[in-house]
Order: sequence, then C-alpha cells, then structure tokens
Amino acid sequence: MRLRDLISTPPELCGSHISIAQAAKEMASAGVGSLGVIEEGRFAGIITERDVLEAVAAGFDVESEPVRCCMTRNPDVFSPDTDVHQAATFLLETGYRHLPVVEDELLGILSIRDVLVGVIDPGRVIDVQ
Amino acid sequence: MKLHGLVGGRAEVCGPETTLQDAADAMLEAGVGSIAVIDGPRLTGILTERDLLRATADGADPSEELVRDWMTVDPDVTSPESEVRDAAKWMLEIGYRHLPVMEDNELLGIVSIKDLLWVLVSDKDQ
Repeated sequence: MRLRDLISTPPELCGSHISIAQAAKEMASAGVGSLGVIEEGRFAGIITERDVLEAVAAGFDVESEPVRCCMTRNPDVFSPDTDVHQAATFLLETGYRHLPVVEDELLGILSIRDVLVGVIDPGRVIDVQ
Repeated sequence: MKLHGLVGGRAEVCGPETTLQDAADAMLEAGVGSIAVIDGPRLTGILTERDLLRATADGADPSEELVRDWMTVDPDVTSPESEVRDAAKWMLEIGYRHLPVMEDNELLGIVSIKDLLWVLVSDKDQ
C-alpha cells in the first residue's frame, strides 16, 4: 500500500500570520492534528498540535503569537508513491507524527493514525483523521 | 505480542488541580502526548495534547485553567493481556490515541498509537 491510497481529504491549510490560538481552533474544528502553512501561495511548512503544546508549555501568548513563530519550516515531505511501511519506519525513527505528501503540490498530510490504518488493515476503507 | 510488553515503566501522572501549563510542561519533559490524572490512588482521567489543543482553541488561559476541567473523565482502559493488534484496531475504531493499561486497579502505563505502530512495523507477523 502506498501513501496515495491513504489520502482521503485535501489538506487543511492556514496562513503563517494567524495566531496560534486560531490555528488550534481550525485544527480542533476540522478534527485534525496538523495544518499545512501557506506563505505567498506556496506550501511553507506545517504546524502540529505538538507545536501548540510546546507554545503553551513555554508560556507563549497564543492569542497574539503567530503561527510562523512555532511552525516547522521546510519539513521532510514524501512522494505519494512511498510504501506505507517505509513511511511508518521513518515516522518511528524520527519521532514525527505527520507526513506531508507532496507531488508538485501538497496533496495531504497523513497522521500516524492514518499510517497505522495502512499497516494494520490495508484492505479497510475508513474515514481516517 | 500483548500490551504488558509495552508497559511497566512509570506512567506520567498529575493531579486534577494541576494547571494546563504545568501538565503541558510535564508531557513535553517526558516526551509523551498524554498524562494520567490521579486523585489519591484512583485513576480519574486522562489529559492528552488533543485536550490542550481544544483548550487553546477555546481561549482558555493555560496558566489558570485546571486539568480537571479539560480531561476525559473515567477513560476507557484495557488489560495488559490484550493483544497489540486488537488494541490498535479498537483505538482506530473509537478514535483514541492513548489507552491506559490497568491491572487490579493499578495503572501500569499508557500506550499510544505510536507504541503500537512500533510493534506492528517491527514484526509484520503480528
């Protein structure tokens, strides 16, 4: 199974100027743990719930600090043709929990949950988040 | 493989009166995404980074707000005798990412989706 088979929805996106709290709101309402960050019309990075956790722990004013302060810029990205086991191994080795899948443009951001679905039950069609 | 092979260390715990900021700090320090909330000897809840995300989204002040108001109360738990693959399927179905493992009312640990994926990827025969 390849990553392309696990992408069920287009990525949730935000700009880098919005506040961390606003990004948290968008993740929470979309039921996802990460957003693709767009700058000048291009995919520039991702912000994840771990980044929000770090901002809270560091005592940032999340209502005013913008996403660009805590996003990950130029994250590792994956081709949609990557095998799911290879992607899982990468996630476990690096400690990442989100995989941006890119082919010319950002196709989706897979979570460790999506990858687990691919590993455990490749035949299953599930609305994963 | 059963879950008891994955737990047995010390679970990260905090009290219900802990602030969200302190709980976030403890999670980061321990490198985990959830913390068990105990009141005396009893497991009363679990707080995950998803709960912190919700709190942040709602404009809660993490230095003032308390864990007890944002945690999942009386979370589902599982036994150390559960098979890793069964636990993983259950978590995917219910939408959990963290599962407390209990035996005789004692918290042995919390397993995450990442812990289970590790086992399943390392041993494809599972």
